[in-house]
Amino acid sequence: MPKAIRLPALITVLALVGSACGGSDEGVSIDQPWARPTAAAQDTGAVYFTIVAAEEDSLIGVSVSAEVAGSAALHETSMDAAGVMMMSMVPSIEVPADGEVVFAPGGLHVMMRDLVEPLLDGASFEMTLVFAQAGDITVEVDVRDQ
Amino acid sequence: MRFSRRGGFSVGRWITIALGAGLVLVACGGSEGYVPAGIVRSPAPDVSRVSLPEVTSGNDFVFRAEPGGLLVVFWGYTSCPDVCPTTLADLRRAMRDIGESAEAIEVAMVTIDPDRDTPEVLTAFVHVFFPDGLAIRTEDAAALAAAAVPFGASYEVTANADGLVDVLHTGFLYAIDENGLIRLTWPFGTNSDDIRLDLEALLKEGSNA
Repeated sequence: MPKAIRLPALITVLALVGSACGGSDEGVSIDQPWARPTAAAQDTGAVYFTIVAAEEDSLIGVSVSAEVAGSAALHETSMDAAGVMMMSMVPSIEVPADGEVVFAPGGLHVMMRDLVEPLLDGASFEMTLVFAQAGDITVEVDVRDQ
Repeated sequence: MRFSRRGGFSVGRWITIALGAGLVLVACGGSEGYVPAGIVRSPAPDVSRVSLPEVTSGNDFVFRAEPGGLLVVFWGYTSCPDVCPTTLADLRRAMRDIGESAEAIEVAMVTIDPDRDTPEVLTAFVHVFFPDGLAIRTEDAAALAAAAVPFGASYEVTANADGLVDVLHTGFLYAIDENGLIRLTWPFGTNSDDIRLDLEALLKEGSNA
């Protein structure tokens, strides 16, 4: 009996240690986050980056620093056979183990609404991505013209 | 509440068929052997009789390039976080890579969302990419819809239940010559190097004419 109790307890402790050591850095990383500069009075913007994951995970939420935008959401742009572009909200993104998911112009992006001020070339702001396993990962997004 | 032009999809599909036919023609013809990345529509759509107000000058702008030059037109809106800035940035890169001869290329953006794109907002957006770019805007929904037809541009701007505005729109860039003929149509996502090569070929043709 005592053994049967201890084993799950031990596993729980190991799991806690594991998550504390792994954290956001080992499970998932966010490479080269960037956003284009925006014009004065432009109320939306997009952030692009690559998610690289050692372990399978899912991206379930996003926020950006309040100084930059009112809200942010995961979006995907798509084009139909007639060349009509549309954007749709994406509830979550699965990232395969040892895989990557690319957020790039014309595809997946973080859409920022209600920009508080224009994004200026050379500036940067904080963005937090929320993962089911890895938790919150905050990165500095570079604003640059490219 | 907002202007909505439904039926854009059917126009778009029809255009796709026309574009497909154009591609076949290009594949069979082409005396110089140059195959553009942009789509050649046949016959070339004539937009020379289309005119819409240009914000800065206040005058009606006629969709024709200067003699020997080119006019590149984009139909879009400024609350567009991904497609519109990406397209204009790709065009800008192509023009920067062309260098001095790109001065013969005029760029115009027509807003499909005049409610939100006030003259000031639209002009600021266009000028971020092209300091001399033309901002084309009308509040006359019927005039805008009529102008879109020869381009083969379609759009739909609707407010959804959450009060957010949904926009569907074609993301093409159009290269227009001095006669107001659409010579090339680039679909969204055309590589900026391919746009550059196509523009250079059209400029060369224009200077030889």
